[in-house]
Amino acid sequence: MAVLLVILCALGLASCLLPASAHAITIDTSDDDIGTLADRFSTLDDLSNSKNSDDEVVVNTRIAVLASVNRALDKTEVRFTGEAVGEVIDAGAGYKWVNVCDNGGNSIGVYMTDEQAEHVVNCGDYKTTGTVLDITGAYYISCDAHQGALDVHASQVSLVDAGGATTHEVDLGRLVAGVVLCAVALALVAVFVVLRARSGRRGKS
Amino acid sequence: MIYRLHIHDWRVIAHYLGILIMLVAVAMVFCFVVALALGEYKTAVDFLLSIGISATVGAALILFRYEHGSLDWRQSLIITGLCWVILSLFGALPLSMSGQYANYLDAMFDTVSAFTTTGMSLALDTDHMALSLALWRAIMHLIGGIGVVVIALALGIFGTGAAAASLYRAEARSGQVMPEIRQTSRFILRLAAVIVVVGTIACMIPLFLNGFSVRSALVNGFIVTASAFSTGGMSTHSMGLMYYHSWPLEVIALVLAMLGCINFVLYGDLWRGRTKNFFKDIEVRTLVVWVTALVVLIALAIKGSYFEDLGAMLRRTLFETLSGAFNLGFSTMYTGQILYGMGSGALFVIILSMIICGSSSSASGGIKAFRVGIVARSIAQTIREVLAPDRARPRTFYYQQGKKLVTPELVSSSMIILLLYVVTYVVGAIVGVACGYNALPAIFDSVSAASNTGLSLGVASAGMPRVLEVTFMLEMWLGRLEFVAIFAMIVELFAFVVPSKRMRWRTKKK
Repeated sequence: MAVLLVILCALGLASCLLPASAHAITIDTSDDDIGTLADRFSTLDDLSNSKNSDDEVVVNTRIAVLASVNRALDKTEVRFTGEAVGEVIDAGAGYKWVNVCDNGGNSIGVYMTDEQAEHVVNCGDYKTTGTVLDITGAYYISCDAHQGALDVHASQVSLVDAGGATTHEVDLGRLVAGVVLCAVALALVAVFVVLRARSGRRGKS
Repeated sequence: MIYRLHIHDWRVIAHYLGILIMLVAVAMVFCFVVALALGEYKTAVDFLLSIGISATVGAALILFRYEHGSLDWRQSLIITGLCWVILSLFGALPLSMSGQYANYLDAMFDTVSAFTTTGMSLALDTDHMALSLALWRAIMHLIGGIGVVVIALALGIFGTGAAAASLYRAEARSGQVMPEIRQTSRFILRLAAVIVVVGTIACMIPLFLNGFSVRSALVNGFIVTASAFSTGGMSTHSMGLMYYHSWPLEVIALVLAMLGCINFVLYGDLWRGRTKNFFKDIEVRTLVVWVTALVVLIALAIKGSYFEDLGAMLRRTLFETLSGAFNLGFSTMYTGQILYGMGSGALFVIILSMIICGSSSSASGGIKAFRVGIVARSIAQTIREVLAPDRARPRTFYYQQGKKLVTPELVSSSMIILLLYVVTYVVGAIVGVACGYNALPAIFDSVSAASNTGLSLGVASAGMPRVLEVTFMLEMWLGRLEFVAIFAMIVELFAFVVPSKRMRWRTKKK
């Protein structure tokens, strides 16, 4: 019994003296309210101060939080989803820029390899819903590699939804009203031309 | 004594407003054709209906006077003041129908912002906006930058002579390249066309190299050019200029904005080889001094921020400052980066940069370099008068199309307009604070709206209080037309609606 107690004490002492082992921590901020810029994420600040330097922290978040510029998340591994919009932009040296947006009009540029960018099947625009990507990467509020840009350097990209064509129904009522009104306008212009011509002739006579 | 406008005057005003509304309808036809070509059929129908409504109302108003006739100075002022309001009402129709805006007022806000070349936007989802609609916003920028009245004058709608000159001045324009206003207007239109074509090609090169298709590079290149040259700032994407991740494009945008900030009349002098007129011009010199001072100030103020790296400093903070100074409104930073990354000193410099902006008779808004130059010279004159012997009467001159004397009247009018701008900045900021915003963003956005710059710290965004939205719209109008035409319009409307013997309104005798 005494031997067992000594072994347990020795193990406890060793665990205190040896460096902490690295382990992954996942923090979920995806449902958080952004709140005011000054006071949000104080808990995250505390956490980032107290966490072990070897911990791999991955923060589940969303574009609105990233686009609102969050110092607490700076240089942290973040994970979020977003729709690729516009074009896949060539950044040179085997890299691409893919701009992703959420439903609330927030966007962020993601720097990724050519291979990762191949997940983008569709780019969102008026006629297309873009590919929704699940992105994990390092978040920078002032990226040294890109002259102070706010961006994410992707480490892992996966496809959530390929996206596709969007349909916009033509309103027939508006079409008919438009044609009728254009015809009315032309008729009024014709009346004006006639009246002006008569007025000109009267003036001369 | 103020003469009350007669019903005949209102018929003349309605007639010319009708013509201008028809012009907007014609501009929409271009976007309608583009929408059809791009297969954006729903938007094409929205444009068709907007054309129908605008053209019908315009044609009906034209009928108010079908006889030949001319305009006087007061009618010109009212037309100029009213046309920017009324054209915004009709220009907002396709935006409102698109579903991109929460309500008509928001669409109207964007239209006012586009026509006044401000660039603030309340669009809900710019990334999924129809290209033809984005093109419409860019065209409104161009129309506003060149000047609604200038375009109408170039097309010969207002004829020539005194009436044309009145309209030209009423739209806060001054100086002539050619003997006739119509020729000057045509010169401005041709100049804008050349710059837009060259600018679009220049913008297409970096876009094309970054993997954009030819069509996409062309559309984006045109929209960036139109927006930058007219010192607007609206874009095809919610990230604005940051979307492109291209510093050459940012440099081109700044150069285009700088061109849009210079008095258009000076280009005529350059064209004719009169380089002296250009380099000795009071506005060019004031702008050079002002921009140099801003660059030095921002370099000092940026200490301690997280943009101390030279690359970041040049691409982010210097761009932001020059964007404000050239009235551009494009940004290479997120709101949070500006608010918390730059420090209060740098933020103050950016607010400062937006106050003055470009030259008179340019695409830009703000107090204008001319007035600041005149006030600076009057201060110098005051000091010289104090130091001069009793009998000496020192005189101060400035150069603009020749050497001219700084008169007390000129100083007074410059000071009045300068004061009105400051009052407008302050009033907008107070309304912003009253609506619950922090003082700094409220001041920033108010200055941005009244100087027609378009940079924002998030106050001007979808869902903003309606009182503030309307205040910002008024600020944009007042800033664009430099108060006089708007005040004249308000007084005349008031006099027409509420005639009072005590105020000695008089009916104009014909």
